[in-house]
Amino acid sequence: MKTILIVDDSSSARLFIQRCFEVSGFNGSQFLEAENGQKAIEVLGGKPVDLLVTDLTMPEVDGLGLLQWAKKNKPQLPVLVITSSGNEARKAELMSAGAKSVLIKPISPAVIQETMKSL
Amino acid sequence: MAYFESDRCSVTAQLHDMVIESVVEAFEPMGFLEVLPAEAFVPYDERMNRVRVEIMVETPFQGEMRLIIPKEVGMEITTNLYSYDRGQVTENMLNDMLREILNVIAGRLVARIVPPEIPFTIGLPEVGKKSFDDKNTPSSTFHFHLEQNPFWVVLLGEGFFSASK
Repeated sequence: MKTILIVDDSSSARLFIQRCFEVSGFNGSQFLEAENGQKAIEVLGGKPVDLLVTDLTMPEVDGLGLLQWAKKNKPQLPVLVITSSGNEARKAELMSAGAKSVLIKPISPAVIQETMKSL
Repeated sequence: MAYFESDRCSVTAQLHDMVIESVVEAFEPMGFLEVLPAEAFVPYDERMNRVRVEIMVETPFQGEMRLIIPKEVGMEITTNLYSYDRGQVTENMLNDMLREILNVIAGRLVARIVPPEIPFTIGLPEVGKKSFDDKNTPSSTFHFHLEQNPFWVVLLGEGFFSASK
């Protein structure tokens, strides 16, 4: 993955997710950030991105809205949802909306490594 | 045996364990610090320089969760994550870190309470300005230690207690 866009309204969460990717062998990737779905759409409109990693609950455009936008406008872009509001029901909903994978916070480098193998 | 205070609500052993597991699960990976349930009642001191963050559970039941933590402890967690010196950590970074930790605690706890086939929603965490506790709301306070410093997690609202039975 050359360029990974991390979308989360928490700067601490974005940093933690980036660290997990770096420790999992993605330290050569370029990391872009956005604090909500609307900002992410603006980034995606201007730069090529290889993986979209998004939170679910965010102000303005939330993660589900961003996922739906991405499926319509960037259908080849894999989307990984990382949320604290996750259980089996939510996972099923997000997967049927087009997410490649759904992870529950807190994540770890091991979980990222395992997930990225399957993407 | 962990001590917990339950002033206005009966807390089942199951809910008690769920809270402890959720707090430990959230703090340790993000804060890189070991969290332990307090073995004795830890009185809350209003004069303490602390941060209080709160988050609402919206569906399938309503409730509020609060994290009250000494600012000093919050600073340590934040410096660990950012790999910064203390002087480099801003108030915004500290508040953001604590909001995210509470967000994860709430998510883990509600996921344990709600059956897996029912989706749940929680709100956006905020730094709170209300008092430590609301006298007329069913609540329970859970006491923890992190690096010898106390912190508290409060559950407010009947939903937590009825949904977990």
